[in-house]
Amino acid sequence: MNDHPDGLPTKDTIDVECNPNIRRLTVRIDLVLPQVASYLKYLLSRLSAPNIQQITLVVLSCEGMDRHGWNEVDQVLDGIKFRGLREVAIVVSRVQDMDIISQHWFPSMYSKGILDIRRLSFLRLHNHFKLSCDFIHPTNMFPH
Amino acid sequence: MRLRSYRPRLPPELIEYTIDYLHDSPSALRACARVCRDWVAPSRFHLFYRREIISTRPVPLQIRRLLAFLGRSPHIAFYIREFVFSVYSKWRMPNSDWRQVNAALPYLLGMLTQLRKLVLYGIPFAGLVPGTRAAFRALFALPCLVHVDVIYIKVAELEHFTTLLCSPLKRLSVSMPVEEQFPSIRAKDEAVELRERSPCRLEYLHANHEVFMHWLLGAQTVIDISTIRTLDAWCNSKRMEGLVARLIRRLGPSLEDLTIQLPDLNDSPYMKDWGAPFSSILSSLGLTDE
Repeated sequence: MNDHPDGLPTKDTIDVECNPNIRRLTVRIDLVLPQVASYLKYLLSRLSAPNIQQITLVVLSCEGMDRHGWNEVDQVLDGIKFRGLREVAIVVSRVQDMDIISQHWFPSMYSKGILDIRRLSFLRLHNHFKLSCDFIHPTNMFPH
Repeated sequence: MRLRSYRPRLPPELIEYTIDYLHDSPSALRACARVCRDWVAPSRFHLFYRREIISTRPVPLQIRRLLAFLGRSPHIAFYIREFVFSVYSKWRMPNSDWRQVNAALPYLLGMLTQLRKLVLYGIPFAGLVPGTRAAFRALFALPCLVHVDVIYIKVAELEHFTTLLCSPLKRLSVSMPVEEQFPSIRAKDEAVELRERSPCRLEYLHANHEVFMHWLLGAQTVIDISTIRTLDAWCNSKRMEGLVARLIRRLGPSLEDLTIQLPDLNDSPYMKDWGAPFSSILSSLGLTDE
């Protein structure tokens, strides 16, 4: 979503239109900015996988999350092409975040009984940060 | 008349099931291994499944200790299925340590003939002496080695790493900087050999490095990407997002399980208002990729 100044996707935009057999989609979000929800809305609306069963959103920090935007994501997930969904999981890193993200953010998923808001396990959090270290420039990791 | 004492034997499946349950308790497994002969192998299977040599302690000493242990009990090496070797640390390992590592590591690697998973952190492949590099090549060529994780591996050219990949590999995780400080002299013979190899038909790929992704999408014959069913892609830069987008399109219907790290929204035009303060936060944390 980096290169579309007019709001339209480019050839570099991640798109899942060509992947009809996706069963599980996980999106990891380190910092939730206002436009994340609209990007997710775009990504999910492009998805045409009739067998998708599980969507997981891993959110490390819920600061900046806007309920309205996430309600729109919920509406997309309520569409006919997601009828096979068995679970929508929102995975957060802190207990406090579980209070911020309530079922009101994803009312349709909640009413279907497939919404699961849970906390990232310590081990997974450790692995996440270990891999996130790749953001750090290699010269910082290997000083000469 | 004296009856022979009869001690009922548990079925082996039940023993294994019980001991599997204790897989994360070394003390319990050690106790189990002393119960009777039938309990030894299943206990050792878990006790020695994973061995780690990590740079929080002196690496040469750890290698020597493990070598000495395996020297006394060579059959234990057959139980080692996962091996983690890390020289990744904030400080560069001293050259004197590398000399000791290069002297001992080939013997250790040569004993790990049943390895299924290999995790390597910060190995300067192009800087290894030929004997150590050859030992790694032999390890990568094991038919049972199906899972390789390489993190911060250091190579002069990508071929120093990719020529090591062999066809049994099913799961590959790559994140590595490419360093230019080593002469690229050793890839030639391997490149010739590579042309005669069948490609790796990966089922799982995790990648977050642009150079590797660029190579993967290019005219390489080492990895057949058409079999990848699970992709874990980290879009930590704008260029990486484009490469991941291309890979996802190429995978098409074979892709079943996709994990993506959201693109760096800091580059987005949506970020015009947010951009400057967000950039400075990332910079202060050392989290920028430029």
